[in-house]
Amino acid sequence: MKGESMNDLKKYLSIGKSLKICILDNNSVEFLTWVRKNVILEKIFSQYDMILIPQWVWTEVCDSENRKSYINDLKHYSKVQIIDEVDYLTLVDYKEAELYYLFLYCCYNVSRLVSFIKKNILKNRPVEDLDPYEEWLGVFYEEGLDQRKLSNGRIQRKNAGEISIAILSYILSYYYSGSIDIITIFSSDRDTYEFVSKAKEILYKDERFKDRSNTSITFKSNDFLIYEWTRLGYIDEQNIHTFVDSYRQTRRIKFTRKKQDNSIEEQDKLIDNAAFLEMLKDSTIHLIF
Amino acid sequence: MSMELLFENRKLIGKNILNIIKDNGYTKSSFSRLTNISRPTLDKLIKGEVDSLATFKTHVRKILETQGMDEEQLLNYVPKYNAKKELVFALSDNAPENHALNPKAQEMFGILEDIVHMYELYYN
Repeated sequence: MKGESMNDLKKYLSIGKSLKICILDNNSVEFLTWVRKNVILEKIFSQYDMILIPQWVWTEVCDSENRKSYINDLKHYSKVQIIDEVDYLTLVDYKEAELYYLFLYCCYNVSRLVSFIKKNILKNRPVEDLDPYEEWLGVFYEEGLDQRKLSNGRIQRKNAGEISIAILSYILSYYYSGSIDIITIFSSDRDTYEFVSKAKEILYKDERFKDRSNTSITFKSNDFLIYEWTRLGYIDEQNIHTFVDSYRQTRRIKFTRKKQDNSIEEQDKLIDNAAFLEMLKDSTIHLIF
Repeated sequence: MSMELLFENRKLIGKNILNIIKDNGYTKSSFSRLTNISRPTLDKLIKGEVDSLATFKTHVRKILETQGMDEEQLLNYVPKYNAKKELVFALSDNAPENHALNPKAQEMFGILEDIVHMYELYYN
């Protein structure tokens, strides 16, 4: 997005209308293409006012024609915006030092990236002396992220999409909290969840951010979606076994369950398909990730 | 309050502009873009080294406009945060910019950086 359209987006995000925003990760788009015949996309996304995809994620989406065409079809039903990471600066009203901290905190789980940022971007200077954002963003993307060549010839940057999603979600959370009620990330990637969680921990302690209002960031993993669709009756009870066996594998799930005395237990464990099918029958469960 | 008074106190105004940049999460570069003041001129303003009253007025007006402030607020600006004591990154690589470390040294520096970061992660 450039020029006027970025300003249009900023205006839209600031209108104070209790917006519901969905941010899409590549792995979720892949999953949604598999289940497209079972659950129509209109049902999944109609509750959101806008669907955002960072450019670094869009690049990954475009590695598959199926994923790309899913998003193009989605554009007929919803307001879908692909946001270039360069435009994050406009979204934060040129508060580039704060944007630097969002980058740093969203990378905090990866020591190598933190070292890279401090050594090659901050370069032992005060943060207000940083080089222009476009320059250090390019250095971070080109030199900071691990790379590997895909079979289609594209150079994939490890964690680029996850980091960009985490940063975008915090931009929306802190700079547009007055008009956004819901920020939900569709992702089943544990890294995305961990990046967002670690950044939250640090932001709550950081003097620059800790007293500012913010919108909470929530997740819908593939397992969450299956659980939700079962409860909403989008998946036929008779077909649920086949559905789970076809589209799900053993995965670690973070969830809560209400006990008989109404206290809540927290769990974070590997759940195979048999256990997952049992979980689908339990209405006291809430899937976090 | 007159712009002439600000000009007379341009060293103080420069410090206050820098504090506005820091307090609001800008960098000098992004503040320069926001206010449409060239980076060299902004540096001069911050150092209190703009010697032309006309130039000073033009640029200070741009700052007042973007920050929604008046002259008096700029002159009496009180920093929001005390200078925050940042954790000093204990490991410093002072090699010249184009110097290439040998692979063994590079590996050792990498490990040391990871240890320092791990400490920082848990210290926080």
